[in-house]
Amino acid sequence: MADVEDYKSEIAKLKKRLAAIEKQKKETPLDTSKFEKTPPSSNATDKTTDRKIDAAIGTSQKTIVSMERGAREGAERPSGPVGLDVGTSNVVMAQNRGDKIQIVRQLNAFFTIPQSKFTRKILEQNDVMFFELEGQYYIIGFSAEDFANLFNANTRRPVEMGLLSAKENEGIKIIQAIIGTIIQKPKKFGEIACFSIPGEPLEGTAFVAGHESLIKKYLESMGYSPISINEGLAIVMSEMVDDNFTGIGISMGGGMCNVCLSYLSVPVITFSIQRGGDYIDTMVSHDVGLSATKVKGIKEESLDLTVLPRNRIETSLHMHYLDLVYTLIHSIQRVISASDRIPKIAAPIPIVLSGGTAMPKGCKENFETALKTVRLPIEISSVRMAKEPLNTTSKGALVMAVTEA
Amino acid sequence: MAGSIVIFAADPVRGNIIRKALQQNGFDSLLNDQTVNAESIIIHSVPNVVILDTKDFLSKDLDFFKSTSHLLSEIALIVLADTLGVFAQASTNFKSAQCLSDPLDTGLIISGVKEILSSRGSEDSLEDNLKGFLDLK
Repeated sequence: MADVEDYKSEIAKLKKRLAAIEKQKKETPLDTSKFEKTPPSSNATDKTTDRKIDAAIGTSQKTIVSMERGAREGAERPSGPVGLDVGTSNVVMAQNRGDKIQIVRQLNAFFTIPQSKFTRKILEQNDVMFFELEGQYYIIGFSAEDFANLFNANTRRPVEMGLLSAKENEGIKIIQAIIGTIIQKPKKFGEIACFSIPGEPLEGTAFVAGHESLIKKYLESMGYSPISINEGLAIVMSEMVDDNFTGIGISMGGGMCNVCLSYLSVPVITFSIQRGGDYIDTMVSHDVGLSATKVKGIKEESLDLTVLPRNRIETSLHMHYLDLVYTLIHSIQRVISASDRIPKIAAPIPIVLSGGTAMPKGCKENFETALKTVRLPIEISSVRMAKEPLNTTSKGALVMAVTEA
Repeated sequence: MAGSIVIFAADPVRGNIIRKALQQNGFDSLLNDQTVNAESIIIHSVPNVVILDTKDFLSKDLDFFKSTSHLLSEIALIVLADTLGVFAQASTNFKSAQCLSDPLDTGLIISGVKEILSSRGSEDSLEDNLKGFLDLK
């Protein structure tokens, strides 16, 4: 009998507490603006989140249809979320097209020639993309590379070392024109456009937030709702769906190498080193006396890092490639070892390499060899190449855009 | 699994890692980066579990729980702390508390949460049985 009395008393206390809580709830306003909440289960919001995650996973598993943007084709007017990789070498756009992902790529470069009526006619006849500014024709995209080779000169870049170049007066106008060749205003106002941004460089004083803000403003002016994604995280979102979005995504691009250690899609560590393919081209160009544009052509067409070099250009390319790989791996070791943010990860995690600079034959093997020379606080299960290294970042950005749409 | 969880973590990366790990294991959670609103958060969400990551928290941040002491007696606490002093300061007034030290181990957090919520579940069913027996529901 005494037990029942005790329980009655406990229940009375509980009821009293519940009443007090209810009363306090009414009296105390709650500012929820700073919360990040997992949606409650078994309701409409939960189902929407599940659908979004399914859509994102579905997107990451789609096959890619890729094309380079020529002057004849008009820019796309997307209907749906868009992923945009604003890299040093290329600008790449990804969007869903039925059961496939359509990728459109444009070279992020320009070349100037003096204005004249005759030149204009020639450019128009040959479908060269250009615009006029202050007495010059700015030839943009893939056409710029052809002209640079014709004049045995180097193309110029509106983006340098991963960020908008302060060296070029018209950098913003050029990058806008280049983006404008692959996307136009969306069919529906406010469509999500997710664009890639680099991680903070380990050295130097580069200001990533400024670069991000300028791209965001431009996309907003076109009618998009822009969001950004770290370039390394985009690799993870694109390539690590089967790994629970846990691993290290590395984008070896033209201007920089971006690294992201992700745990369950949370970017735990992100950083960049301001060295990439352009650095290799410039160093080899100094060594052998060829233009950097020509060196780039040789590197992309015939470089094989698995065999011994056959001439001084290849020797120089091998040396500077190894230098880049070792610099990258030692940076990873330094940053990861110094971090106190990394959670305990039960199973070994993969590394995925992506980007144009990772593409020469033997790059992955060189990376694996160099990785064995350092000790990391986390275990690595494998090093693998992204399925389509030039399109991975834009695809990852699209996956993120679909999740946020 | 039923039961609400509130996370307080000043470091957004660590907070998000905990939130994602809970989400992956089917737990709802509310992430907050400061304790200044602790009282209203606890009143409104009536959590079963509070996870407190003390990394980057200042001593005064833990004081906010003092003002909510009357609300904590039914809440279990998981503290991520490296010193017993911080753990002791944070855990006063809670129903139960466990301390986990670095490195951040989401596996241990999930186990802790499951343990708390399963014991809470059995308490609830006892309470329901009793209410039924006493014709109170």
